[in-house]
Amino acid sequence: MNNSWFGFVLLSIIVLFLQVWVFSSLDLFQLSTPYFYPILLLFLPISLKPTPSVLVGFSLGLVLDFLLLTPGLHTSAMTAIAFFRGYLLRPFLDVNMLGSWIPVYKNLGGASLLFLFELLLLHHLILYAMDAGQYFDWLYLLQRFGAGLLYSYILAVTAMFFACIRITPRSSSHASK
Amino acid sequence: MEKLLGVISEYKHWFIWLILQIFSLCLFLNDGLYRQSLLLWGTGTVSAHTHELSSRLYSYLNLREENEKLLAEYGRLEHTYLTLLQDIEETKAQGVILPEVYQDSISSARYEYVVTARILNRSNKTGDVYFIINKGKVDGLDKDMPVLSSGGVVGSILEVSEHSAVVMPIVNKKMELSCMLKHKGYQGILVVGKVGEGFTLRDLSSQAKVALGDTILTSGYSFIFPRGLQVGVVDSIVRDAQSALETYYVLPFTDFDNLRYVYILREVISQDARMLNDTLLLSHE
Repeated sequence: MNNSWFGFVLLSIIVLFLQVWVFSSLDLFQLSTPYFYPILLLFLPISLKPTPSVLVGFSLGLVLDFLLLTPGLHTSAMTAIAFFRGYLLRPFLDVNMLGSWIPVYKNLGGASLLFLFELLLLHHLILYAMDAGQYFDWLYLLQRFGAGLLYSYILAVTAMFFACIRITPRSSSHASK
Repeated sequence: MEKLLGVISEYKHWFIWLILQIFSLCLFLNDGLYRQSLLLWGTGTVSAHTHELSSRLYSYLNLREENEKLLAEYGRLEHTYLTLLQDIEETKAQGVILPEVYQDSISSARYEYVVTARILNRSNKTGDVYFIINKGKVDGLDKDMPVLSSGGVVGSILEVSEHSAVVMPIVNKKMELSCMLKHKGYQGILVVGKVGEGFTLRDLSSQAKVALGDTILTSGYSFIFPRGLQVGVVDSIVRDAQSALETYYVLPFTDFDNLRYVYILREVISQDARMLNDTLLLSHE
């Protein structure tokens, strides 16, 4: 396992830990729970093929379901967005980009924020549609969905910048000053 | 054949995705599979230890609150006991000879054994709430045993493994509880409504006179809950202007959001009663 995959596993453990034991128990105004863990898909290389991406998404969802006791719920949402990740990312890429880059702010600029929003939107659509159940109330569902998405997005953007600061080594030019 | 293999090879990521997506959806949508996997998830070695650890941590954090609840429960029971004692003394002082009470040996022996369990985790699937508790078969638990809290009824045991069990609480939409009004005897069914609606009491007799603050107890018409367990109080009554039908909203005695410990009653004779019931049902088919 090379360094980037080791870093990804380490980051996954931290994010899943925070999601399960910190953020899943936060219920803002008894309306929304933040699910910011799809951010992990941002830390996979741009050139990653759909098959490994789906396997990673499925595994992350399974671990989360295992810890949150929600068999199938997060696995379904995460598997789907991991599959569509490549298709959602394609419009933001250009030929000068390296395949090993990760689609975060320092590489994609503002497009990474839009890409992250797309991922979270798709994830929340699947998650809330599945969680709505047979007795759902449209208004309540929309409120939960909107508040949950906003809450998750703010957290995910913060986490993205924080993770980039933490994992980016100092550049040699900066060090030589 | 080569063409087919070529197509499969070209679109293999679609096949892999579909297989994994269908698997996860089955896990979620198939209710039996969901419960089984919930039990497996909740009681697996790693998971059980993790949940045990986090629930212990939360228990320590909430120790003060738990103590206050226990003290309140102790105070309530002591008050009931003293009131009863006082009533007996007053009755005796008035020269009334109390009749000897012959207890029904069957009813008193129906529930005999209480197990205290800690809630390890709760699962919520489309509003269907389940609790995982840290007691299982080795502690004498079995399916369909009644689960109570210091407040009142919590639910019943749905699945059980060696050291853990899944509880279906009355806040689960699939649960319907046969209830009655205290001192009035009218019977109805307690169900949980849509999100934010809470509990409603339905199928009451049209003659039933329900007032705000009426206490709801279990009716005993089930193989799970004995008669007379506290459930909640009538919190509000809403009359439909057109149909003149009334909806009775019930506030449960159990605080499901802050529930940490539960008690399980062990049945004695219900297996016989169940077998008799099954025989009767079979003979009518």
